[in-house]
Amino acid sequence: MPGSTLTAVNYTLGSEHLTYEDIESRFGSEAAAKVFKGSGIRNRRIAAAGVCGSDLAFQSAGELLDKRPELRERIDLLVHCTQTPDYLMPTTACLLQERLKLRKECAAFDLNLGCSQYVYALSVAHSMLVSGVAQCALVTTGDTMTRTIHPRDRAILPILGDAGSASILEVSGANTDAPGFLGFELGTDGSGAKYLMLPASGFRQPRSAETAAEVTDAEGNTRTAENFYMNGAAIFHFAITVVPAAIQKLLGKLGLTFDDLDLVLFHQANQYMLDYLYKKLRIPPEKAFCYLENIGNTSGTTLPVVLAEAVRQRRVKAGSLVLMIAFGVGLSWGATVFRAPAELIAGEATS
Amino acid sequence: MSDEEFLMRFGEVVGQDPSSLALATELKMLEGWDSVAYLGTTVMIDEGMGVVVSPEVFVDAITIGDLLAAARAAQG
Repeated sequence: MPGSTLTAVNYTLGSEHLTYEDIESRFGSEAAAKVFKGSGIRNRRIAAAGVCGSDLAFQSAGELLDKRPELRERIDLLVHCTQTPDYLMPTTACLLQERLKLRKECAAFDLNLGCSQYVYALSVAHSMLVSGVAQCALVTTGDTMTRTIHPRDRAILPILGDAGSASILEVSGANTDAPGFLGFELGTDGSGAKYLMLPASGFRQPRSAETAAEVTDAEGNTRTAENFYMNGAAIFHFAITVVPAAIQKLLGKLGLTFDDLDLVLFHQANQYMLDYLYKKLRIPPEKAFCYLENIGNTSGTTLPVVLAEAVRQRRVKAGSLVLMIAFGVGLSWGATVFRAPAELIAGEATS
Repeated sequence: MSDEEFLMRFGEVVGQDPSSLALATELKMLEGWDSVAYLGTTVMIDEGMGVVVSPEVFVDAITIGDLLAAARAAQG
């Protein structure tokens, strides 16, 4: 059976800036300092008014296709990941197929997951490539989660940013030393769904006067049931429990150890959390890489962003063994290990 | 972890002189007891006692001693 490999990754950030100084002027210097201490996030990138997550994905994909125009005729699978779609229907992936001028013999569907979406989408695309259902896959992500935050929620507003991405997967050799995905570890704990949620956002709890009522918590954060909610302590507990276990399970399954890995990339949720995970797992600095201080937590797009940056900064080389793990909304998590190809395009840069 | 060591490490998390803290000190009286301190306390307990306490502990605990008791209970 053939394998599949990632050959290109690119991302687009929201064009607007929400700076440390903006947070200071809105919530006070003490609150701004506290946010930076607790998250490591100084500035954020926000989508301009009217821009959807799909627009950010479209730009990322367009730039990749400009670099490799022959792919327009080859891509026969488009998986778009979002929790802030253009519409509930039709599927945003169908709109992207038309906007990107991909051929009609192209399967296109959305994958509705949050922070873990990228690894899940890679696993789906990989499975469809190795089984022969598709030959060349475009995986896009794009969310504008900042639109869901109450403007007076000082706990969440300074954390999130908006971004989109595009990645190309192609069929590769079956040899275990060949570039490509070595395996995946996916998991779910729906009992924690309430800890990361947009409550009045669908058909279970329709929007009403009640859901629009503002509530202010003990720490002075105001939100409604129509706004994004996160229980930070619960998510931190989830992350430092699940992430080490999932990584150990994946490495065990693949017969690998941390010594075999060249780079370990986490979902860029919060620098404090990432520092602790690297420390807890005894991953040395030369195998760690983070990129969130000046863009914020861009939900499901953080992994393609940090991967592309790692490529641009020469941290991924031909044959590098890279582990990526994402975790969050659901609660849901996914991890993968892949061997980098000789040429991995990252926007303007190539490994 | 002894009571004294727990108080010393907890004082570092909330930015308060450990000598001013006791196991009976109420958490709500501490200026530094906030959502960032929850994370710091979780890490402090994980590193020092080898357990990750449930997030409900931070909702239910009234005193510093309640946090230590929950951590020791998690150790089994």
